[in-house]
Amino acid sequence: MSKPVDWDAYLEAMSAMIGLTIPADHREATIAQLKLNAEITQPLLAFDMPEGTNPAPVFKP
Amino acid sequence: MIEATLADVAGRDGYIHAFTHVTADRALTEAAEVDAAIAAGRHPGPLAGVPFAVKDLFDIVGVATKAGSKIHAARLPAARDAAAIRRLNAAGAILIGALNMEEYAYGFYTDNPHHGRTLNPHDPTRTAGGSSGGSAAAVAAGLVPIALGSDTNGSIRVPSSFCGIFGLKPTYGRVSRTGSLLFVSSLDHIGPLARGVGDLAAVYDVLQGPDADDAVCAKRPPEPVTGLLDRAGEGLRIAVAGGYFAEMLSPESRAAVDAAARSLGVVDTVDIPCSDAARAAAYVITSVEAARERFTELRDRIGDFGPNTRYRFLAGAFLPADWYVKAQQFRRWYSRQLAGLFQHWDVILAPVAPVPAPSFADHSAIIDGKELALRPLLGRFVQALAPAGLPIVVAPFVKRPALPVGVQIVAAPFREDHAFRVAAALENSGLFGPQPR
Repeated sequence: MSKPVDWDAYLEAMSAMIGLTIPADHREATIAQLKLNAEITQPLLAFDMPEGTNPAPVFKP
Repeated sequence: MIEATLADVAGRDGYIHAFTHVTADRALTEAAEVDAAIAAGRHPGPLAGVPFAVKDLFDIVGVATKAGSKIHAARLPAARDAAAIRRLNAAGAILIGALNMEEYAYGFYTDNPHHGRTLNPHDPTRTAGGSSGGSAAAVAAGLVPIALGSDTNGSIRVPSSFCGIFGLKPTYGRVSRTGSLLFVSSLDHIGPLARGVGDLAAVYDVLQGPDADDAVCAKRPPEPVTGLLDRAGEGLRIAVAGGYFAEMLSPESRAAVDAAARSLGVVDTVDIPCSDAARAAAYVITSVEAARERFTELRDRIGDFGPNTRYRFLAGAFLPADWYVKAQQFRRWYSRQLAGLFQHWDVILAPVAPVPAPSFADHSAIIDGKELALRPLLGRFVQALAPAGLPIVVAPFVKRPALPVGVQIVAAPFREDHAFRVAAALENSGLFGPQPR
């Protein structure tokens, strides 16, 4: 990620969008987990995906 | 025999706490039915009279499927058995009960805040592993000869390693998951755990077959492996995973892989590409889908989740869609890379966990002079293979009196036969297999 993320604002906006309110006493730990998730995800985000790679799930009606 | 098994569970389970529910009346009824079938001259099935137990996320008719949670423990009893239980019952096996697990299958310790801590039969100060910890502990302790577990990011493989037994994660989609509580549908498998390769194969052969009720279950007829075990490793091209899979490895885990390679005469190594990104992809898919599965509970009952799962579930609900779709794209790319490797190799050997079963009191381990946090470390080798959906048998290396350590025997999709044959070869060597009870 090129710019620092305002995780507090991100959580606030996303909470409203998905209808999942984080109680105040769980907010700090949830943000800490989000930051950890972002760190763990870095090797995937850095991977240069070949163009036209289909996502794995296939729906067969 | 079933009365003796029930008495054994009643007498000894208190030491390890593997069971969360014992289906005593049902077991006695099923045993009587097997006896009646034999008396009537009918074939009672290939697993006639064999006791088994299941991880507490498989539906058992008349019992609430707790899935290691407080929330689901209060739900209505299941109306129907899971498909896997029905298949084992039809083969004559007898259900003894449900087994402890991590809350909603999220973790490697089976130190459950709602239903108790399962102890490792080899050393009660250590974890049995997870999330199918009760399944592995019950089999390792000899309370049941076979058990069912589930594996999303290593939940059959890690406890099999820590408890020193054989375990199978079949190919993704090979075995029906109908009637098991989903954790992460894109990565969920169910499979057996057993003390010997023959038992593991016998259960796997019964579990196979299509099921229209599971959207991902393959439309393939059963391909039994039991009759192939005598061929062992003959003619198979086998390599050891190098690179990522040879780093952050304790001497004990390295010794297990080395012993397997020596026993099989393997000298080649192979690099599985981008394993760190593969692990990250499994992590993202797990976080997002697990949160979606439990969204209602997160919204309405967040206080009833345990402290070790609550924030992982919550954070998963907020991850960007871009990350998730990229993880699913990566999965496709990764599977193709591995398919390329399996053009040259039939089986790849890899460690299961970087360390043997840790103590509940330990939060870090020192490997190659570095202190590493244990919880994220334990999934290093199993989670990196999770996106590919490959069949993997775990074989336990037991160098008495040291703790057991497993080896992953990885094969191409739907080539469980190759993994089973190598497991049989390792069992035949006398170096791999459970310690005597």
